[in-house]
Amino acid sequence: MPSDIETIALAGNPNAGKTTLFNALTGANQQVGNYAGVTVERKSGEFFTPHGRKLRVTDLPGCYSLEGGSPDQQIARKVLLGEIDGEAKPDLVVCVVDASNLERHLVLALEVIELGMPVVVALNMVDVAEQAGIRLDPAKLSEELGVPVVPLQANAAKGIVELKQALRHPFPAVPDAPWKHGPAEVLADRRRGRVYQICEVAARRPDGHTSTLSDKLDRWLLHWLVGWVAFIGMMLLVFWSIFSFAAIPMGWIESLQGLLAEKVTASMPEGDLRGLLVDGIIGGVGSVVVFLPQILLLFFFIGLLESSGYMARAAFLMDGVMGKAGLSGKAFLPLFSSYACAIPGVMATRTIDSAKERLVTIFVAPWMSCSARLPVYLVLVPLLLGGQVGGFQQAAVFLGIYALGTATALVVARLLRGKLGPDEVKQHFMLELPPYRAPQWSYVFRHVAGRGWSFLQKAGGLILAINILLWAAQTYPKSGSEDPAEQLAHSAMGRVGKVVEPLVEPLGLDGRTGTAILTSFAAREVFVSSMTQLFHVTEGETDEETWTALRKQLAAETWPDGRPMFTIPAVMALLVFFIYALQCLPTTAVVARESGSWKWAAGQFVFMSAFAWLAAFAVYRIGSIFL
Amino acid sequence: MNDWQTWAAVAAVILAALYVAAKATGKKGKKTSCGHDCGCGKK
Repeated sequence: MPSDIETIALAGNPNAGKTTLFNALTGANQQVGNYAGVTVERKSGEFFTPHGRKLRVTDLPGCYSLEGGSPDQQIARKVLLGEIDGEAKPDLVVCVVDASNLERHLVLALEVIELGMPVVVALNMVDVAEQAGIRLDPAKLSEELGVPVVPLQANAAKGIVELKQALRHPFPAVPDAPWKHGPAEVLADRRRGRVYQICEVAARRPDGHTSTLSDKLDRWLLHWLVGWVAFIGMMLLVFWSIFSFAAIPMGWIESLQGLLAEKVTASMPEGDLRGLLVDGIIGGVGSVVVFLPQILLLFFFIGLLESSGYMARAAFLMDGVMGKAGLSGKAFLPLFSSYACAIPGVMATRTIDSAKERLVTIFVAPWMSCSARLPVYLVLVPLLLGGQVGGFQQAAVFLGIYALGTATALVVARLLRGKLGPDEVKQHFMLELPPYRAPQWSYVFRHVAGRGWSFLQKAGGLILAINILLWAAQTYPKSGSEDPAEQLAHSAMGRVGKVVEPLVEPLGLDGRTGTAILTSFAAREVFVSSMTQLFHVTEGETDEETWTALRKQLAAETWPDGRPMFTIPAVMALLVFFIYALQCLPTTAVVARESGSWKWAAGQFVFMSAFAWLAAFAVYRIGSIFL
Repeated sequence: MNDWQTWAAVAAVILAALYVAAKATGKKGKKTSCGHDCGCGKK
C-alpha cells in the first residue's frame, strides 16, 4: 500500500534485542495486531528522527534465517520482499545483531543485504561483547559489510540517538553482496565463510577461552542430573506459584462477577434479558476473565525465564524427551503453556519451523490438563476416594491425571508424526544459548500485558457469543416451570441431552450427567454448576461448600432399580472423559485460526471426543469387572 | 413475563449466532482501516 511515511523494518535473530530496540525507538507509540490472513503477530510504531522526519517501524518476527519454513520466517521474508497484501515494502532494513555472537547473527544480516535493499546494522549488546573480551571494530565491520553499523546497548537506551541519525535522508546506498555470485547450492557455505572472514577482522575473540559466569552456570544447569533436578524444581515452583498466587485475584474477579450479577438482578425485573445478562453475559465473560490471573502469571514466568536466558536451556534439556515423541525442543514451551490454557499454548506453536511438527503440537496440546479442568477434578477426585478431601491419595490421583494426559499426548504425537511423514525440507533444531542476564522488567511486563490483552480479545469475543448461544439453548423453549432442573430438561439443551443419553449410558452415566457434559462445551468448569442444578443441590456460600453438597448428593444417587449411580468405575470413566475430551469451543476456534484449517480443528474435535468416549467406556467396563 | 426483555434477548442471541457464523466462515466485515491494523480508521 502506498504510504507517505517511509517504513523501516527491524530484522534479527531471536534474543538479538530486537523488541527492546523497537520499544526504545517507539516508546508507547506502538500498535500490535496480526499480519493479514495469518496470526503471526505484527508490531508497528512510529518515531521521529533528530531531523524531525517521521518514520514507521515494523518489528519482524525473530528468525535465524530467511530461508526456513516456519510461519515466522515466511512472514519475515515476505514483508522484506513486499509480498504481503496491504503491507508496503520497507524502504530500509535495520538488522539487529548481538555483538557478543556475531558468528551466528551476521548470517541473517548477509541474507538481508543480499535482498538489495538499504540496510543499517544495529550492533547491539556491545557491553556484553566487551565483557566477554571481544575486540569490536564497528568501522571495520561497516567497511566489510558495505553498510552503516551503529554500536548500541538497547536495554540501556544507549546509541538510540546515533541509530536515529543513521536513518537520515538519503538512506544508505544499496550494498553490494559479492559472496552472492556463484553456484546457488553452495551459497550458504560462501555466506558462512564470509561471516568468519568478517569476524576475524572486526570482532576478534580473545585467544584463550575465558570461562564466563554463563559457562559456569551452564555446567550445572545443563548437567545430566543436576540440570534435570533444577529444571523439575523450577517447573514445580512455577506451577505452584501460578495456582497459589492466582487464587487471590481470581477470588476478586469472582466477587466482582457476583456483585455485578446481584446489581443487575436487583435493578431489573425478572425476564429473559436479565437472565441473559446475568447467566449468559456476566457469567460467560466471567468464565474467561477468571482465568486471566493464571494466564498473566504464566506469561510472567515465561517472560522471566525467556528474559533471563533459562528458557533456551529448558528447551535444550527437553529436546531428547520431545525427540522420542517425534517433536523437537521447540514444542516444549507450547505444551508447557497448555497446562494453564490450551489457547496460549496453541498460539505459542508459531516458533516451530516444521509445519508438520507444528500441526502435531497443536493437535495434542489440549491433552495437557488445563486449569479449566481443575474444578471438575476437585469435585470428582474426592468422590472417587469416598469423600476424602486433600491428603496424599488425592495428590497422587491428581498427579496421575496430569501424567495420563501428558503421556497420551506424547504417544499420539509420535504416531501422528509417523503418519504425516518426514518434512519436505529437513529441519534442524538449532537453538542459541544466550548468556544469562538479569531479567528486563520492562520487557517482561510489556510481554505480560500484550499477551493478556491478546488473550482477552481473541478468546473473549467468541467465548461470549458461544455462551450467549448456550444460554439460549438452555432457556428456550420455555417449560413454564419455576424449577431450573425441569426447565433445563425441557430446553433445547435438555432435549439434546435426552438424545445423547444412549451415548453416556454405556459409560455408567445418566441423561442429566450427559446434559451437564454438553453444557461444559462452552467452558469445562460449567459442568460443576450444571450438575448442581440438575441434581437439585442448594448452592453454598463458598465453592467448597457447594462442591461438598454436590459430592454428597452424587454419592447418594441411584438408578431406578436401586443400584448406586456414581460408582468408582463410573466416576473414573467421567474423569477419563474429561482428561481426553476437547470440550472447549474457543480452543477449537483458535486451532482453526492457527492451523489455517477448520477441517484440522474439526478433525481434532471429533478424534478427541471419540477417543475420550472409547477410553471412558473401556475404563467403565474393565473397572466394573474388578470393582 | 416481560415481552420487551424476550425480544431484546432474542435479538442478542441472533447477533451472537451471526458473529459465530461470520467467525466460522471467515467472512470479514467492511474494511475500515488503512490495512495496517493500526486502528487509524483511514482507508
